[in-house]
Amino acid sequence: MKTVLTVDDSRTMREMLRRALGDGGFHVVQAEDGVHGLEVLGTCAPDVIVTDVNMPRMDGLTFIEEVRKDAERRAIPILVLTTESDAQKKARARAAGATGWIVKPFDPVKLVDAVNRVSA
Amino acid sequence: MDAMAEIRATFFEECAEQLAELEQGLLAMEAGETDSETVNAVFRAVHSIKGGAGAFNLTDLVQFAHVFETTLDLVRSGKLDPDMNVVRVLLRSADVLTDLVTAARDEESVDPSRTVGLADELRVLAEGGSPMPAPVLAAAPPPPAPAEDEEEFEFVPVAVDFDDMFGPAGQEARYRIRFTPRAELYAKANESARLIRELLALGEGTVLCHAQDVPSLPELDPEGACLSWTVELTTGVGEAAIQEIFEFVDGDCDLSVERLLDPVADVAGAVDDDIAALLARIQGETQDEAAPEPVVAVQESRPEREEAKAPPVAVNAPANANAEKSAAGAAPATIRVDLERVDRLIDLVGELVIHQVMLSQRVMQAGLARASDIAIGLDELEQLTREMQDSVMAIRAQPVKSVFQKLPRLVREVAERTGKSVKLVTEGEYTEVDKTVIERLSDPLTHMIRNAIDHGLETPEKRLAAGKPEEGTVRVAAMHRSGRIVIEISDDGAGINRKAVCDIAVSKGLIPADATLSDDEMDNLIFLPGFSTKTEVSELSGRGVGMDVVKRSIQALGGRVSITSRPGQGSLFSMSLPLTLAVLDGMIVSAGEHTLVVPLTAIIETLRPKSREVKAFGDGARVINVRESFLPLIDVASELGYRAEPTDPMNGVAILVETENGQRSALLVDGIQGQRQVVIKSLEANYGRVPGVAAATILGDGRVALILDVDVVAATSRFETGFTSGALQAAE
Repeated sequence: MKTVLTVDDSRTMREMLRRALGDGGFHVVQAEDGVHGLEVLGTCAPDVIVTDVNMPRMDGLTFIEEVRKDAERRAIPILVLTTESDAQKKARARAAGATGWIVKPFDPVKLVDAVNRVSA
Repeated sequence: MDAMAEIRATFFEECAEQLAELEQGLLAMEAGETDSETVNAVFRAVHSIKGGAGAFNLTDLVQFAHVFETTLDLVRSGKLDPDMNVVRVLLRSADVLTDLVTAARDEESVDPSRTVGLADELRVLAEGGSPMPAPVLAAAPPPPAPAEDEEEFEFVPVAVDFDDMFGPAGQEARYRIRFTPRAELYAKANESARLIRELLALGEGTVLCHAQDVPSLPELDPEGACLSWTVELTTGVGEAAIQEIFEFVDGDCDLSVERLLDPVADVAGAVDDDIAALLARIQGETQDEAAPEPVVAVQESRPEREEAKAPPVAVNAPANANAEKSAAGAAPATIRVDLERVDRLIDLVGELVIHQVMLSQRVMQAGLARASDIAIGLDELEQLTREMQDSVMAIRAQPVKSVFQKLPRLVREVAERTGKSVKLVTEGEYTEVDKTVIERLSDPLTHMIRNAIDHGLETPEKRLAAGKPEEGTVRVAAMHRSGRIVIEISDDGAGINRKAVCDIAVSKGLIPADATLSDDEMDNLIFLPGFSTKTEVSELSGRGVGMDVVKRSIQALGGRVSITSRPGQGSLFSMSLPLTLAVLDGMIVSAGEHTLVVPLTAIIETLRPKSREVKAFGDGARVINVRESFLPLIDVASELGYRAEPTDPMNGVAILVETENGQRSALLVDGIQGQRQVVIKSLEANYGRVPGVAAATILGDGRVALILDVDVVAATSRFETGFTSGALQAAE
């Protein structure tokens, strides 16, 4: 079973992600923000990371940059959850090293599909 | 509850937290804290609400949150200065957002005029606040001309119709896809092989790998990209679906998708050329084993090579982050527990206390020496039980902050509607009190603050004329005082208009026209049932509810409310409430054949009356002289109807008590049995309300004892010959 790390400060979002990904056959590990995410990465090796952008303590983009700095974790695909569907914000996420993005509100099927795509 | 409903409940819970944070942040901004931390927290709150609302299709909420967020984004990026005017609009927007959340939760709708009006104000801010004409809008992809909400609203529903997207199935076509990834693509953990697999999943196809740019091994850049592919694909899904596969890598690769008209010839040509080139390279430049394999091998080895190359960064970065985390992780960890479980525990501890007391009593009755092991053990048990009880009670204790947080909004609304300018000052918001007390505090507090602004504060013109600052101040302070929580609501308004109050009380038949009242008594008239200072029911303070209801709801919590007013300078309402509704330190006394509990907090001292100190006064009433001041001496047993005739004071003990409004009385009881903590059992829940009795408890020997309501006993007696006794009885 593949593991997905979800990083989101919203309980609601975390819960929705957990359900959608759980139903999609993934094992889900959760973190509440970037700092927590890095901490969790020290204890598990997810196959995919799904992260929010706007978070306290460490935002999603900084989090991605930090993950990409780490040789061991560099190859983990990271999907960014974003409500902003405009090109500029996607470009910033990509510049930080995001593999792809998921536009919120997400359709669970689409989410699972996207995670499957990058983790295949 | 199904899973979705559960998530929905979580969402609204979280919304409440976000809204509180939003309000707090905005108030901080109002106070001049406009650092990025504060502004970001405010932005995030709205952003989170919008995100969640989108997931539940709460369109009204999403639309308003979006406009709100857009304006906040300008503040965040420094394009809009959060001056007073801006922050005020933001605060009112937060109010509307709160209403929208509440409406969404209750599946109701909000008056669109409020939402639209404020959304417009927000837009005006967004446009006016930017130095250049709307740079943000210009930066957004296709700005749909001064659009309506719906169009400006940027959420694209994700659930797409696959037919729309991929075109009608069945019309097969051949495409040639040339795909040249750049190094950046790999740096973001995208894989060419995966993309090509996905392409092939769309239909039938052939894949050609171009390896001509692969350098010799020593020159190979492990992080570089040197392969490219041409895929010929026959599929019925359409070009959009092909492009979509490369959606994530757009910009990190060169991609061309070409529809082929004459499939077969083209493919053959392309393949031939490429194979010829590849063969030439293999033969000319590389050694025996140099087929495509080494390329694969090199790619796979990338991680190891990087690791060897960059260990300091790799190891240190997360380690530092962890260290920071543990330093920053000083915030106390919390868990969420179902309140019922806590209450069950409190109940059990309550029972434990009762049994511990019973046990102690029985051991004492058995005549064991104080120094015996059993007695010492019991002392320890008593201490532990008490500590345990305190700890359990502390679980239910919460800072009054949760109630105070709602006040700024209330004040804004009332100020707006009454045309008054009001500053709210809160103090002691971290004062802790039982959760139930907090919950029931909200209504009376709201009402009293409405009153303070509506009736207490003058209009700005009148204030200026009276030489006061234009802006009135309402102060709400919470503090612990002798085992209770006291909440004071004060204003610097005109104070109570005693003449008007008396006139109204007379006209409503609440007092006789010729009554002579002290200032204090006049002020307290507003607590009488049926009293309202406005001739018609005011929309704000009104709802047909008077201060008498406020008083009763506070009394129901075991609390008191009192008022002090100074003409021209303002009024102060003071509420005093028990910290917990579950235990009480009490003095166990005998009155007639009964055992009663007098709350220790009310007792000042006890004394044995001497015959020269006691004087008869009027119709059976007596007073006692305590250090040169005369206090009413109330025989509790006859007051409660335990005996017909008052007992001889010389045979009893006088307990000096002070009521919430500071008046002193002496309660005459037959004797004092002891002092201990008792667990309060509601009399109302089990029997009914009895005047003069606050609650009941179970004593160590298993008997039920009534807990005296000192204020009522004292007041009933004090005013027995006065005008208020009828009103008081009515209030009970």
